[in-house]
Amino acid sequence: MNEQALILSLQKGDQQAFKLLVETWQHMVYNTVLGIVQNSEEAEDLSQEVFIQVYQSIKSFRGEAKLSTWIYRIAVTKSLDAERKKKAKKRFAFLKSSIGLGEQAEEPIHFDHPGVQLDKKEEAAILFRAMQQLAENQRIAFVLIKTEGLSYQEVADIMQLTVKSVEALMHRAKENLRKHIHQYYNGSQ
Amino acid sequence: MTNKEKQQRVTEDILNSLDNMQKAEAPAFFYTRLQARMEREAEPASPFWQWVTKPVFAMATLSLLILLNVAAINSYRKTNMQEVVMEANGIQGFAQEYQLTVSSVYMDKSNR
Repeated sequence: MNEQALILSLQKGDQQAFKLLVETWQHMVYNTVLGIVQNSEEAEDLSQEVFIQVYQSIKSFRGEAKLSTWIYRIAVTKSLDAERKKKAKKRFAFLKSSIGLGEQAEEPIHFDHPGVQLDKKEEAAILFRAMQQLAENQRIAFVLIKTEGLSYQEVADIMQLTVKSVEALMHRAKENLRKHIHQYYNGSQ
Repeated sequence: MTNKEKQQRVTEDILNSLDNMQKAEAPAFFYTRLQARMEREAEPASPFWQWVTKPVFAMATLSLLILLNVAAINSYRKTNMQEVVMEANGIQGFAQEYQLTVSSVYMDKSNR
């Protein structure tokens, strides 16, 4: 089934077409979300929400972008929303603890990405921790290129930017990551 | 190798640690679980909860609570005022009955 036929079937509410869509893009969505939220349970939950959103909004899909680009956009938006909620929760917990109501928010948990080579697990965990400090758009560009293996052009399409802007984002992301890693390295010694 | 060069190498190793990584795969039976969730969310809630969770119900309850509070404060104020008046009247009445005014005490002493 080609993409156009799949979209038409989805817009008609065909369950088999939806099953095909999920089975085709479930790993792509899960891997993207996992790279951003860095928690496997949360990533599964959010991936489900991505497909529910796709199912509910497919009728409004006009085909201006590729179906995969559109799904990537939904995955990135959902993940960023979840990250913002987590940050707001942490800030609230910090405020509560500073006035003596409740305990301070816990430190981020050590994240092991299942796809990282065994001999690089420790270094990758430091990198994932440093990625949490990046600005949202730098983080998205870095995750899509490094963990999803997308090209600069594909990332530019997803983020609705020019290739040059994505290159600049990646450059800034790497510079900032170097700073954070340097700080981590000096702090732990 | 100087300490700075060593540190730079470690930083670059960390930065390149995601090179050649494998993509993570969605857990098994992802579609089955997704379908179950969609069915669960599509189920209509019981009529009672549908009614209770309506914004109109929430607003009406909130307005009722505010009204009850205002009425309670007003009623408390009135009772308090009456008690103060009664208390004041009571002391004055008592003083008059027993002639406990300053002049009456003075008069009593001069009459002796």
